[in-house]
This record gives sequence, structure tokens and C-alpha cells, in this order.
Amino acid sequence: MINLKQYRRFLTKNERNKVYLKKNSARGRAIADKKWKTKKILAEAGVGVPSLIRRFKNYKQVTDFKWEELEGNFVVKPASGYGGEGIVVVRKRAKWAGEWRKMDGEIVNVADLRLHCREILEGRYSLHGMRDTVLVEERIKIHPKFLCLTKTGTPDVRVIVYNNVPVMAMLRVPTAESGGKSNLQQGAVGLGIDLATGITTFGVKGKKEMIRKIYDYRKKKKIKVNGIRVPEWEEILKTAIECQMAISSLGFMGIDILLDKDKGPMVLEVNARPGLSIQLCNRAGLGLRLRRVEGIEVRNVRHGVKLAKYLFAESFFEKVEAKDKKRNRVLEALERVKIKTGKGRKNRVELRAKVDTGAFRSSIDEDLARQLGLLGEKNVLYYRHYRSSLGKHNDRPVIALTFWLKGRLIKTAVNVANRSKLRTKFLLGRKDLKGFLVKAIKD
Amino acid sequence: MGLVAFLWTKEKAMAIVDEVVIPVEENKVVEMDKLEKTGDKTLVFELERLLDQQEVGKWNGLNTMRKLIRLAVARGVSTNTIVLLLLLPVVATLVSFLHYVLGLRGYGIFTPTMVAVTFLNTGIGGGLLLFASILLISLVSRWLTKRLRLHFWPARSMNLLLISVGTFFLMAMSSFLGWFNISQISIFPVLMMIMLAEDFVRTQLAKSRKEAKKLTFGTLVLSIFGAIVMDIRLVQEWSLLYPEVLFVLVLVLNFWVGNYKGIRLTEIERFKKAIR
Repeated sequence: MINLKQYRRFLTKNERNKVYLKKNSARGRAIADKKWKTKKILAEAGVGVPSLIRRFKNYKQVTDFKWEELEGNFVVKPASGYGGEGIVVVRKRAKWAGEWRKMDGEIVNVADLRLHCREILEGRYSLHGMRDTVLVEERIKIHPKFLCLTKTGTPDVRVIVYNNVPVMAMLRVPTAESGGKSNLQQGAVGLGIDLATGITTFGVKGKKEMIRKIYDYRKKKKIKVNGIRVPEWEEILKTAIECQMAISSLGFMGIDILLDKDKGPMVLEVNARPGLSIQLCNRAGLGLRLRRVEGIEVRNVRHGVKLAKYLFAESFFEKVEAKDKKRNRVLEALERVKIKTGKGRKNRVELRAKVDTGAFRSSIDEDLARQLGLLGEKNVLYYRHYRSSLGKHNDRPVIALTFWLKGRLIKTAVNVANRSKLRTKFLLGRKDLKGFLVKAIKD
Repeated sequence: MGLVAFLWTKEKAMAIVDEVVIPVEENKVVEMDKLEKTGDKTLVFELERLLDQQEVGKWNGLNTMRKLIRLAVARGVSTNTIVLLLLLPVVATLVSFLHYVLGLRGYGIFTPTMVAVTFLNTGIGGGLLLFASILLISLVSRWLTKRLRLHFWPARSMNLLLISVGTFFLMAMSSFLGWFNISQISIFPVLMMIMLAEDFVRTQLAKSRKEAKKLTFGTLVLSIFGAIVMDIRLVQEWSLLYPEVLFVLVLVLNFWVGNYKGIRLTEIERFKKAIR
């Protein structure tokens, strides 16, 4: 006999349609249906959105537009498309003017783009074949953290926000099956995300199939679906809340956020009828969570983030927090660093380094560098005339160096100096101390 | 000239009407003949006898419907049609119950309801055969017309031509081979099945073949349920004898289903994996 009680925590389709979709007014739904309107409102509210290059309302505007001036890095898409259909992503210019390369390396030219715009205008990609408008907007550069997860399309984060509190989130990874689209319905992979830490938990492919592993294109093997840390998690949660505060006529909404390499979280679109599969990849019930945040008065964005983190943290939350604390960012005057001398774990040399915030660049002792084989022809970047604090002027080689400080990988350029008479053979300059705090007094 | 043309077309139109009407009547006659041969009495007569047997008494407001039914039957309305009309909301209720509580999905609510009525006419086996062949023809013709790069509507018209010819052959064949006896069906089941096949093709274009298969299969399952319920003798008799009870039942059930917020049976299967 099935224990029906344990299903009570899930949000069912009936309950979503009857209770929670009532919180979305017709006005809100109209905003969500039109990407252009969403973008305008969000941009006015100061939420990050991909910037609009042009909007075409008719074919004349398309033909009048000077396509040749576009450098690349743009997206052509229908304003009211659904399911990610009809989106052309252009990466960069091809060899000739008026030709560009798409993400998969295929070439498109102006005529192709015009034809595509015409199809969009004629309503090929809109819901009921109704006339549509075309948006040309800036392409979002995929975050390096996600590069290994997919070859086609860009992974995004879906956050469900209710009552200004994020209640559940997932990372949606496009697959070959979904054709580069990140809709689970079309076969994309969804990874549940712990709201407190931004670390993935479970995985689902499509709407039903639970998965434990996902292919990593960089390692060229399958990796576990759990334990992937979504970068800038705090910012993502903030963006999601800001988004709902900007469109308050949608009480229950799914927000699709893309992470740009440089600009951080960007809202791609908002969804007035978010799907329910998110419960599968989180292995948690949305119904229970929604009931939990019902009626809470959220004072501001930070309050909302805090609520989400405290209310919906996974059990591993404390462990992660403790680990984060242990990997503290405070440096003493003398710290141990590991220097990479070759490939693999064996080729690392640990030594003592002096933290010197007075120096800009780090420097390494000449003899030591020679011993470690770091002065090879390939490794020297350039020679530079240096002025030392003692008034000696000389040309020092600047070499590429990779080292670990407090478990953090730092790839940098350091100069080679004669430190044979000094106790520490390695000096850490402030260029490589980004993100660390330096303790002034030893306690 | 104009008058002649008008008369000509009028005559033509009458001919078409004749063509439609005749087979239906023949159909009834044939059925009656067959039933009489096997020594059984027709359902229609039995239902009418049932009506005669029931005492209605004087009009008191509550038995308005019963009075009206008798009046209509006396004026020549077919009892069969009345039963079908009364059962339509019952089937629709059943379909909505199966959708919201069990989680079966089809093309909306009306398509399954109508296909259920179709099944009642053709028999479930015959109806499925009819649908399968129409769908097959639809797919083949789509495959053919795609190569011609025609506009959408002309392509669909060509599709209809193929379906018409195909269905004609099917009906002729079945009379020879004695399969499912769909040689005597009227035009409406064919139209209904064409619409369902069209839904399939459209969903396949707009969404995916998987989704189209799922929805079509769901529609057929829902319709089969509906047809089975409609085919129960007791249900037919009761709908005729106690139409008021039927109304109340339909209203109450729809109120309940309409306010049902709980889990669907198929969702239990889906969410089972999400329980830790």
C-alpha cells in the first residue's frame, strides 16, 4: 500500500493550477509571455538582462538594418517564442564581411538572418502562429565553470520564487537530445541545487528519468551530478528576488538566469507556469516549501536570500560552511605556497613565502628558479627593467608561474630576482593576493 | 441561364442529401434484419418498451425531464439519440475524472468524448481499425506531400483525397472479409477519426512525435473507457428512466473533480523517485 501522506509535500499539477497560478494576474502573464516587455521592466528595475541591440516590428526594418556592422556575439530570437525555438546564436565574424559563425561553427550570412527574421515575423515560432517581433540582443558568454557540461547551448539556473523568497532551484543543462535547449520537456538535464550553498544535489533527465552521472566534456568521462558548485550563487538568489519584486503581478514564478562570464547573473526570461520536474532533481516537495514561506513579510532582497538559505538548506550545509571557514582567507606574514614545476601531483615544490604588500609583482629567487627548471626558454615571458627599493637597477626575467596559496590556484607572472641572501626565496606581491586578507600583527 | 444553373445545383444538392440519408436508413434496416434473424430484439424497441413500463404519474416539477422525454418519443424523436445526448455529459465527466484524478491525457475533453460516441457506433475494434488506417494514410500522404512543397491547405486537401479513397477501400474490403463490420458505418465516425488523425499530425509538427503518440494513445484510452460506460445496458436504461438523477450525479461529480487539488495517480508514479 502506498503511503499517500509522504506525497503531500509535493506540489501537484492540480494544486499548482488551482492555487498557485491564481497568484499570477493576467497582466503578469502578459509580461512573462513577451520577452521584450520583461526585459524592459527588469532593466528599469536594475536587474541584469542581456542588452538589446535592435527590435524589429516589420520586415522593412530588417532590410534597413545594417547587419554588416554587427561584430558577432549576438542572438536573434522571437519576442514571444516558446520552448527555446527559433533562436540563432552568433559567436563571431567569419572570414568575409556579412558572414558570421554560429556556436557550432556553421556559417550564417546576412541573407540567412533576414530569412530567419522574416519567419519569426510571420509567426513560425510563436504559440499560435501569430505575428511576432524579432529581438536582436547581446550574446551571453558561457561561464567557464559550465563549459565542460555541455557542447550545445548554455546551461542556466531556474529559480522558483514565491512571496519574494526563492523556494527551489535547479541547474538546467542542454543535451544533444534537447537540441541545445534547456527545457526538461525536450530532454535537457536538470540538477537540483541546494539553496544555502549553491551546490548541486540530484539529477533528472527529461521529465522522469533520474540520473546519477553526467558527462564532463573536459575530463572526457562521466562525473557525479552532485557536488557541482554554481558560481556566484548569492548573486543569483538576489537577482531572482529582485526580479519578482520588479514584476509583482507574478506571485509564483520561475526565473531563468544565465551566468555571464564577465557580467554575472542575467535574467533570460520569466515563466508564469513553471514546471514541476524541479521537485524530482531536488528530491524535495515544492508544496511544503511554498506553504512554509506563505505569509512571511520579506523586508528586502537580503532578507529574502537569508530566509531561503535558512529555511531550505540541505543537511550538508553545515559541513560545507565549516570547510569554507577552514579555508580561511587570512594570511600571516609568512605563508607556505606550492609551486608547480611540471605536470601531475608529484611535480610540486612546497616552500615558505613572504607576504609583501609593498611589492606589486611576486618574485622568486634566481637560483631556486633555475633549480626548479623554471627559467626555460618557453617559460620566460619577457625581460623587464626593474628599480629596486635599494636603488639598484637591473633587467630581470619575468616568468609564468602557477602556484597554490591556501589551496587556491593562482596563475600569474612573477619576476626573477637574486634573493640568495634573503631567508625567504619567494615573495608574494599584492597582485597575487587578490581575495586574501593580510594580518598586520601576529597574535 | 442563371435559373437553370440554380435548378441544376439544387437538384445536385438534393442528390447529395439523398446519398447521405439512404445508407443510414439501410444500415438500420440491415441491422434490424440481422437482429431479427438471430432472434434478438433491437435495443431501440426495448428502450421504448421500458419507457412504457415506467409509471410517471402527474407532473410535479421533479419529473419534468421524464415527461419531456415521453413527449419527444411520442412525437417521433429517436430514443437512441436521446440516450446518447443524455450520456454525453456523463462521458465528458468520466473523461475529466480520468484526467484530473488518474492523470490520463488526451486532446482536450471533447475529442475523447466524441471519439467515444464514434466507438459506440463502430464498435471498439472497428473504430481502432478505422483510426489506424486513417492515421496511416495521413502519415503517408504527409510524407508524399512534403516532397511536393505545397502550401499547407492544398496538401491537407490531397491528404483528404487519399483518406477518402482509402476509407472507401477499407469499407469495401471489410464487407468482403467480414472484419469488424465497418462496411455499414455512417460518415460521422470517419470524420471524427480524420480529425483525430489531424490532431496527431499537427501535434507532431508543433511539438514532437513522442508527445503526439502519447496524446493520441491517451485519447483512445479515454474514448474506450467512455464507450464501455456508454455501452452498458443498465447505464442506458437508467439515463432514460431517471434523467434527473443523472443530472445531479454529473453536477456533483464535476464539483468534486473541479475542486480536486490532490495528487493524480500518474503523479504518484512520477514523484515516487523523488522520495528520499
